[in-house]
Amino acid sequence: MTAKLACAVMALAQACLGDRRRDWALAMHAEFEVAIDDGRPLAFAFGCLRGALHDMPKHADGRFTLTSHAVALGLLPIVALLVVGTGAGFPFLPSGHAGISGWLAGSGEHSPLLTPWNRGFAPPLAILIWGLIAGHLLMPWFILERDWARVGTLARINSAATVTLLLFTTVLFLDMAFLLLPMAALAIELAASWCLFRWQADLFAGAPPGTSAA
Amino acid sequence: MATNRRPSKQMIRLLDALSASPREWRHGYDIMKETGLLSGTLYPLLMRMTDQGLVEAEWREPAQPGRPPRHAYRLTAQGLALARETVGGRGLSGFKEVPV
Repeated sequence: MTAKLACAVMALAQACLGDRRRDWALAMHAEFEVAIDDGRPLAFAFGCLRGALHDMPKHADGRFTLTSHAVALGLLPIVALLVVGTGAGFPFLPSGHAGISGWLAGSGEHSPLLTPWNRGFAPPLAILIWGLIAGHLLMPWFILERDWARVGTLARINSAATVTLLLFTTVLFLDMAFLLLPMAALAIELAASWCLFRWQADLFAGAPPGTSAA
Repeated sequence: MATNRRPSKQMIRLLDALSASPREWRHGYDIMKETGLLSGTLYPLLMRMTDQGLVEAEWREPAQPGRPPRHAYRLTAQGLALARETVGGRGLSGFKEVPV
């Protein structure tokens, strides 16, 4: 268990050092083998991780990595807000006190948002909102992977879902205030991912092909 | 590029250890054991000193087969000069003149 934990910590330390310090990561890894023989792998690995984290803010690529992790973590509470909002029947989920199952069974209280004549729109809108939440949840993951093609695709999907919600809200004459949160979430997500994309493009403009930065 | 700042206590310990036998290449774990510095202190220090041209690093073949190559370190001429200066500042004189 200790050995596995030490290996995981060591791998994290090596990842934190990045391409710029690849030689040092390999050097630490070689000494880690000696530390295992010496019976102190965990202390050594945690020390290396501490050293790697200490080194990161000193370099542009390290600062980029730290910022992208901060952005990814910052996006998660927004997703959590959307999930909590959905659980509370926001904005088109007429679950009431009967819950989702009650709503699916056709019983339970209905949200005052939807009237009898537009209640038929509830299932597709609910699916759209859950899809949007799933999209927001995936975004931090793709950002951390620096998979900008997927980030772009997901940004377009999330934008389309939010615009669709906006259109339905307008057509059904519903309260637009309910869309403030999804729209704010989308705006923050788009701005953050665009800034990170531009930053990485500037940062690794001259990176050789084949590196993770390129 | 060497720093003009006064060396830290940890850096002085490292300079002392590496300057004891300046021509000898030393492995990181051995330096840790000798100086008592932890890996979280030693490696950032070695990285910084290498960036500053005070320490040089070289890959060495492992003593045991199947093991990865190990990084070995020693002071550069500039690093040795700093070590002498540091020891001089502390009023000690234990260095031998060794060409590097």
